[in-house]
Amino acid sequence: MRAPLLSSLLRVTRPPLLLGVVVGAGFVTAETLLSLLLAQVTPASTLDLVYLLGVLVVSYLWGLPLGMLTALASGLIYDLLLVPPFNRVTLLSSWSWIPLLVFLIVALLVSSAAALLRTLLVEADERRREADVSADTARLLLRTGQLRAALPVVARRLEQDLGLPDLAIEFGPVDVDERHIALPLCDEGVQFGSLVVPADLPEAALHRLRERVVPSLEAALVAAHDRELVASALAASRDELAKVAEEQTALRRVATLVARGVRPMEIFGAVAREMGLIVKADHTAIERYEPDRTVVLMSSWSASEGGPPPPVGKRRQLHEEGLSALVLRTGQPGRITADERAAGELGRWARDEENGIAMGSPIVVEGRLWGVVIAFFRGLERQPEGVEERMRDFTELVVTAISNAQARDELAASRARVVAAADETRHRIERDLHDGAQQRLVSLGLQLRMAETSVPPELPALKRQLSQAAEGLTLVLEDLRELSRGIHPAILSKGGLGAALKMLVRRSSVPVELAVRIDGRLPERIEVAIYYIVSESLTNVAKHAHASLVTVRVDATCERAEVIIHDDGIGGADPGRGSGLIGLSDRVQSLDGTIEVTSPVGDGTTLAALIPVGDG
Amino acid sequence: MPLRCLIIDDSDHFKEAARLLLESDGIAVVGTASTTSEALRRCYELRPDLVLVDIDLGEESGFDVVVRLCEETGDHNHRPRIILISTYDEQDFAEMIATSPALAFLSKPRLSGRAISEIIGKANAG
Repeated sequence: MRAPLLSSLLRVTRPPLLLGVVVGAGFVTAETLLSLLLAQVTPASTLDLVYLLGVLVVSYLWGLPLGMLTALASGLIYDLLLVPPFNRVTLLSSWSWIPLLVFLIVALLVSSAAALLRTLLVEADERRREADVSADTARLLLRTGQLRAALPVVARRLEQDLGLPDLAIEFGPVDVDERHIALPLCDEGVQFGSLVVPADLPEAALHRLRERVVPSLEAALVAAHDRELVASALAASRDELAKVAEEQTALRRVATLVARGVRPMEIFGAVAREMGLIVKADHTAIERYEPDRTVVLMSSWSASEGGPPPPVGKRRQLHEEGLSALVLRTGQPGRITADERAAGELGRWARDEENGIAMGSPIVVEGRLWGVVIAFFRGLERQPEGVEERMRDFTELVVTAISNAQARDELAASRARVVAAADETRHRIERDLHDGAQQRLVSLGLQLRMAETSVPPELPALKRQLSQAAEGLTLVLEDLRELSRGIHPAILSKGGLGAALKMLVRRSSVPVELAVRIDGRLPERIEVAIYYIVSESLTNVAKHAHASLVTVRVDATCERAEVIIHDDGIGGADPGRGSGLIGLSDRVQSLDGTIEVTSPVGDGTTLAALIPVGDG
Repeated sequence: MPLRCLIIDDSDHFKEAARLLLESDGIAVVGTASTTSEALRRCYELRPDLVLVDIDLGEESGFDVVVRLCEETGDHNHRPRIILISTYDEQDFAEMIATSPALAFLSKPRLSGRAISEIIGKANAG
């Protein structure tokens, strides 16, 4: 209830003048009636105070002139009715004009005080509203994400709150027509915008805008602008951070592949893709330099679907003016503008796409220039930034992958060589024994027996001695034969794996069920490996397993050989113990195969080996 | 008339020792050979009653020689008796010996006129 009352009292526009006259007359009448009543109990000389209320109200609401008029009317009526002699104006009587004058002066002061109070109250209310407006404006401006878009909203709010028509806020100086004027908005003396207002605005309103609205608007706009700058800087740094994080994630994905020892070709593919996405290239490729000045495509990636990619492994001549040749020549990262001349460099793409920028990073493995990582950016207007460093990070991963693969290959090859050399030596020793010592001993035995038959019957002791020597020699031969077989199974080279496995089965002290399925002859080193796997396993079973039956299954095609040996013994074998199994593991791994032993206690032992056969 | 024998082996020591032994046991060693082609030629020239073939002829296989001899020496009646010999244990080559058309296997240290007679006698009886 208070607010509407207060606001009606604080209205800038005054109630109509006629209403003021009526109200004034009403007050004077009512006050006179009250005074006449009060005159019965109170001395009339103090009743002039009653009239001051009317003067106060009229002065406050209708201003000083009407207030003064009311005061004058009040004084005359008071003089006429309440100051004796009654019903006669005593103004000009010598003794009575002084109280009337005092009354009028007091009434004048009251009127002035009331009018001033009203002015102060109205101004205070205006200030409050302006403060509200500037707070509103600041809130609107500081909350918005888009400063420029918020300006019309703020202008509408100003119009509404200040009760002014047709306001506009613009950035920068503006040209205005004759119906408008522009109030400059400045920050530290520099104009950054304008408040456009109607030209016919009253001077007071204009003054008020200039003095009290513009400064707060300037402050809010500057703060909002600063805030927008900070926000966009924050957003930019957030974007930058996200980019760095994304790049690190991509690098980590590739590094994980490298660490897992995934095949280099797979890593090349991952690098081409991940790097392409990170540097936002249109195409990427990895090429390997060959000694005959050709390059082989190791992997490629394309941002857009444009038909099948060039086949991996495709070889092409090195184009002397192209990027790959440039990197080969300098050994340094390079960048060229790819046009018709470099068409060959980028294979299919550069022929399709007219122009672009190609960047290459050399792949240097152990001091040797191995190949090049290429990124292609379509179009000439875009100068890719910071791409070299990113390409270098990915290239380092490629280098590591290649080094690892080479080290692994070398290790495997050297292990294979060790196994092969040992096999060959054993084979040779076996042959030497067979062709040399064994044949000589056999011949010697035959000669001894011949000598024995030619001894005359009258020399039985000599005959017996010769016979014993021949028998002894036969035993030596048998020992030697056993030894030879351990060194290298001749049956393997003469009769093949099937015959050799059957021989092992016949010699096994534990019954064996053998199932062999082999497509033709396998490469010798694989036959030797399988022979030793079975031989070693059967020996172990006989020694440790307490088994009653062993099953041996060999399944070999031209692609892979699988050996599974299972016994029904006591289990609990430890594959880490016993050099026999370790030797087998080395042998199988040198052939890129795998060997696995499972031996739960009480449930027999199973050995499974898988060896790729390949082309030998 | 003694048995006429051809020895096919790549060890000269053994061939010499075997020849002396067999001849002293009354078997005539009419020739020797070291390779498959030589063996076939000798066999064709000499028409032996008996051929002793070493399983291991270096690069060549005695089993192959036996098969070739059987293929190229005409009908069954005129074919020489063929016995495989070796320093290896018979067990090692059991399957291959069983599938070979050779009459039998004889371990080299056990070679003698009597051992050969027994094999042939058994074959004739069978």
